[in-house]
Amino acid sequence: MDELLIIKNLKTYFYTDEGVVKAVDDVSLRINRGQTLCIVGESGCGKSITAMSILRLIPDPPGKIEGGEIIFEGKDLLKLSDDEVREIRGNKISMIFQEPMTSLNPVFTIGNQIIEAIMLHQKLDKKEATKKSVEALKLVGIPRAEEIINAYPHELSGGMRQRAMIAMAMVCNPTLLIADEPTTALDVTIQAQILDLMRKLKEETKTSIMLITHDLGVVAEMAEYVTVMYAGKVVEEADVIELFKNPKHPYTLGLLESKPQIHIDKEKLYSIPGQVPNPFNLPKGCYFFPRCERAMEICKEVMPTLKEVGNGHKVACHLYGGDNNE
Amino acid sequence: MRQYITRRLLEMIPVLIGISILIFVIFQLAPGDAVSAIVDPKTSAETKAKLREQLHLNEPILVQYKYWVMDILKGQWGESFYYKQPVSRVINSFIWNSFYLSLASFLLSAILSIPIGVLSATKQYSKFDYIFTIFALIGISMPSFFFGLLLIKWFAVDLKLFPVSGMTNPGSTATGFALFKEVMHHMALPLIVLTLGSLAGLMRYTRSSMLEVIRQDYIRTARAKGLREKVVIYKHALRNALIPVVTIFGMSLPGLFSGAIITEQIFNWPGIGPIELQAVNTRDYPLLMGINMLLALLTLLGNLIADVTYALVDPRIRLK
Ligand SMILES: Nc1ncnc2c1ncn2[C@@H]1O[C@H](COP(=O)(O)OP(=O)(O)OP(=O)(O)O)[C@@H](O)[C@H]1O
Ligand code: SF4
Ligand SMILES: [Mg+2]
Repeated sequence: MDELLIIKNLKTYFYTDEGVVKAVDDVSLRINRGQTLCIVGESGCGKSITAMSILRLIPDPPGKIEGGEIIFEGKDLLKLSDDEVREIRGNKISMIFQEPMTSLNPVFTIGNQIIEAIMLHQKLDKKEATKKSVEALKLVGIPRAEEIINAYPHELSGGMRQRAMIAMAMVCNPTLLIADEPTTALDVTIQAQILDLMRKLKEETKTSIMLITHDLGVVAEMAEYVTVMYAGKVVEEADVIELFKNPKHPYTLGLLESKPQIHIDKEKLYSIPGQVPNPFNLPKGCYFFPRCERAMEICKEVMPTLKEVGNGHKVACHLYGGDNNE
Repeated sequence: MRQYITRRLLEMIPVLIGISILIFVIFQLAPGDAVSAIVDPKTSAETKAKLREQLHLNEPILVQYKYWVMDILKGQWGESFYYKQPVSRVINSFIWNSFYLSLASFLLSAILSIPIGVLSATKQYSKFDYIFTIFALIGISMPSFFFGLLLIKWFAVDLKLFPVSGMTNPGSTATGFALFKEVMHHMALPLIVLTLGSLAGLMRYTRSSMLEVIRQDYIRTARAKGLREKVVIYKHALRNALIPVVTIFGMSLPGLFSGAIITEQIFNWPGIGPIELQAVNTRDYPLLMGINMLLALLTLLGNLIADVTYALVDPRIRLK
C-alpha cells in the first residue's frame, strides 16, 4: 500500500507544575493515500495532541515533542525548519478543529479568512482568490456563497461555520485532511450532513483523512482503518471491518458494548466502568488494568506491547500473542 | 450609526441637567462661600454684605440655580470669584496646557504599552516579561510627587539637562518651532512622570488581554493555515486583544482635560490641575462647578466614543 503518513514512536509530553503528562506516549500509526484513518478513544487519551503534533502545533511551553518520527511524503516533519513546516500547514496538510464556534476569528469575515489561506499558498491575486473562495464555499454546500464571504463568523450557525472551516481546509487541495472531532459540537442532522460532505470530498479529491472521534458510529460510517487509543498509547488497530467483526482489546470491547449509534447523545456513549487513569499516577503494568474485567496477574506488573495477531490486526493486551507465555 | 450617535447625544441632555442639579446642590451644601473665604481682616462686614449681594448669594437657591444655568447657556459658566473673569475664560486659558501634556503622555504610553504588552504576552515568563512586570510594579506604586522630585533633583538640578519648572523660559518670546522646542524641553520631565504612571497600567492591560487571546482556538486555526508567527500575532491576535484596550482609550478622554494635579503642581506646569487646587482653597465655587460640569460632559462624550469605537473594532457589536 502507498503510505502517505507514517508516525513512528511519537512522544509528546507536557511539563506541568504537577508533573509530566505523557499525552502521547510512543504512538505509531500510518495513513495510506486516499484512505480514512479513524482515531478513537475516550476524552483525554491524546487524540488531539497526536493530531496537533503532526503539524507541530503543540504549545511550547508546556508541551514538547520528545521523540519519534512523523514521515509525510518521505520527509520527517519533525526535522523540518519552521518555514518548511509552515509551507505544509494549510497547504498539503490541513486541519479542522473540534469547535466550529470558536475556531474562526471573530473580527475577520469568512471570505477574508479563506482568501488569506489561498493567497498564502497559491500565486493568485485577490480577485482570483475571492472567486476561488466562493467556489470553495459552494462546494461545501453553503447557499448564497457570494454573500457569505462578507459575513462575520457570528452571523453563521455552527453547521455553517464548520462548513466554512472545511472549505478553508480544502481550498488548497490538501493531500491530508486532519479532522479533530469535526461534528462533536453539532446537532445530529448537521453532523450527518458534515460527514457526508467529507466523504464526498474525499471521493472527489482523493484526499486522505485522519478523523478523530470518540463516536464508534462515525467510525463505522467513515473509516477504512481504525486506531484505538487509551491513555496516550495505541491499544488496538485494524481495518474497520476486521475491528467491528473481531474486536480484541477489552477496552475496544467495552467501547463497542456501549452500542454507540450516531443518533445517541454522546454523554451516554460510554458505560465502561471506572475512570481514565490519572496521568501523574499511571499503573505500572497495563494502563487499562484497573478497569479491565479480564485482567490477570501479569497485567499488573508488565506493560503489554502492540503485537500483530493476524489480518493486519494489532493489539496490546496480554490475552493475545505470546506475552502471557513468557 | 449616525442615528445612534444623534440619539446618544440627545440622551445626554437630561443627564447633563441632572448632573448640573447635583453639582449645584453639592456646592450649596459645602460650608462657607467665596466671601467667607476672604481672610483679609481689613474687609468690613459691610463690604462683605455688598459682595454677597453682588454675587447673588442672598437669593433663594432656585434663583441662584437659574442664574448659573443662564450663565452656562451664555457660554460664560459663571464668574470666577478669584479671577473676576468668566469661568469659561479661566478654564480656557489653562486647560490646553494640561491637554498638551496629557495628550503627549497618552500617546507615548499607548505607543509604548501596546508592543511591550504584546511581547510580554507572547514571551510570557521570559526575562523581557519579568523586567517589564517589575517595571510596571514600580510604575504603579511610585508616588508621582516623589518620582517628580527625584527627576528634578537628578536631571534638572544636578545634570542641568532640563529646566526645573514651567512651560517656557521666563520672559520667553519664542514663536513657531522655537517655541515648540522650548515647550518640549520643559515638558520632558513631567511627561516622564505622567507616562510612567499610565504606561504601567496599559501595558499590563494589553498583556493580559493578549494572553487571553493567544489561547483561543482561532489563533491555532491561524497557525494551522501556515501563517507566519508575526501575522498570527499582529494580525489575528492583536486585532482581538485591542478591543478592550480601545475602550479604555475612549474612557480616558476626560482625563486628558482634567489635569494632573500633583505633577503639574510639582513642575509648576501652567495647567488646570493647580488651578483646581487653588479654587478649592479659595472657595471659588463657580470655577469648581464649571470644571466639574465640563468633566461630566467629557465623561459622557468619552463613553460615547468608547462605545462607538468598540462597535467599529468588534463586528459582533451592533449599535442599536
Ligand atoms: N496545554 C496542556 N497542558 C497540559 N496538559 C495538556 C495540555 N494539552 C493537553 N494536555 C493533556 O494531554 C492529554 C491528551 O489531551 P488531548 O487533547 O489529546 O485529548 P483528546 O483525546 O483529544 O480528548 P478529547 O476527546 O476530550 O478531545 C490530556 O490528558 C491533557 O490533560
Ligand atoms: S493486558 Fe490485561 S489488564 Fe490490560 S487489557 Fe489486557 S487483559 Fe486487561
Ligand atoms: Mg481532542
